[in-house]
Amino acid sequence: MTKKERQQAEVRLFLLPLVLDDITESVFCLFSQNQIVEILGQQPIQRIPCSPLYLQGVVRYRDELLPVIDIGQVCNWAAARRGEYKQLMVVRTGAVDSATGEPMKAIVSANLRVQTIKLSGQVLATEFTEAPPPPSLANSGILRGFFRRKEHYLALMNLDQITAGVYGS
Amino acid sequence: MNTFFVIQIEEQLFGLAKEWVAGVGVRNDSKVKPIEENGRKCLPLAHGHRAVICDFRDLLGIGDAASHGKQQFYVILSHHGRFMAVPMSGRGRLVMVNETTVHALPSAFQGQPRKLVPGIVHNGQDAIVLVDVQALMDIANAVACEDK
Repeated sequence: MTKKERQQAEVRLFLLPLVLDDITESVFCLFSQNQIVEILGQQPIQRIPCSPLYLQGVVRYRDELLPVIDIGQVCNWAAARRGEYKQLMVVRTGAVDSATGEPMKAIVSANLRVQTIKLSGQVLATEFTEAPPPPSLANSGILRGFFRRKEHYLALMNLDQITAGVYGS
Repeated sequence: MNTFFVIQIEEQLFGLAKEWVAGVGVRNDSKVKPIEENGRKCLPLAHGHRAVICDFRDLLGIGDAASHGKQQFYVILSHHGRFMAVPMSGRGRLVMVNETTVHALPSAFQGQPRKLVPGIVHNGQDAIVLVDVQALMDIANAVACEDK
């Protein structure tokens, strides 16, 4: 396999570190390259009164207002208080805007810096093993899958319900 | 075009429909001291009226005791005979808003936030969160009832 072919076979993944009360090992929320639109630095977040803690507010992104979601708060009510974040990840969700038919976007706040890794298809197929999730994730209602790779745990999250406004209803 | 009275709370701007703004008061004014009535903090007004004090930061889930002193004014809101005093930084200002520039909240916000915030308007770098005064009074009243 040439270097170019090897590079093409690699998948770029984005890892959002999660701080959870009920697990001591490193847990990352995993996003594929297709899900990530852009990673932003600090931006002014407009807080919306009476909103749940996991909705930190809204940010204007390319003439669109996007909700800012704190995944740590969805899973872990005792997480860091509002307003503390390092980066904002603009993500495409599976929810569809009924007016435009476009996938709805949301912003995920990252309390710790987002990491990126490149993995081959072979590593993805062989090194990820399914693992039992901690209660904080299992009870969050947004967990799609929980895997172990070496000494880390990786969580796949579904943000569709939160973005569409039907989470918890 | 609509006219909004824009107030600042914790570095954020909020727009209130001008017709519901009864006035602006100075906080810590020695002549007008907040009183406690039926377990709620109120500001005595002329003609025996009382304005329930609603600290907006509690509804935003932000702010702490250290930032309390920054809010040196009250905006007094009046809606169908009910009064409310909202602590704010600065004296506030009037802003004309073109209705077509108002962005609705994203779908993620449902229930109370959606009732309370009909939209957000951008004026250059500034974003003004528009607030429905009637919804604000209803929510503040419900919160006060829960606290009793």
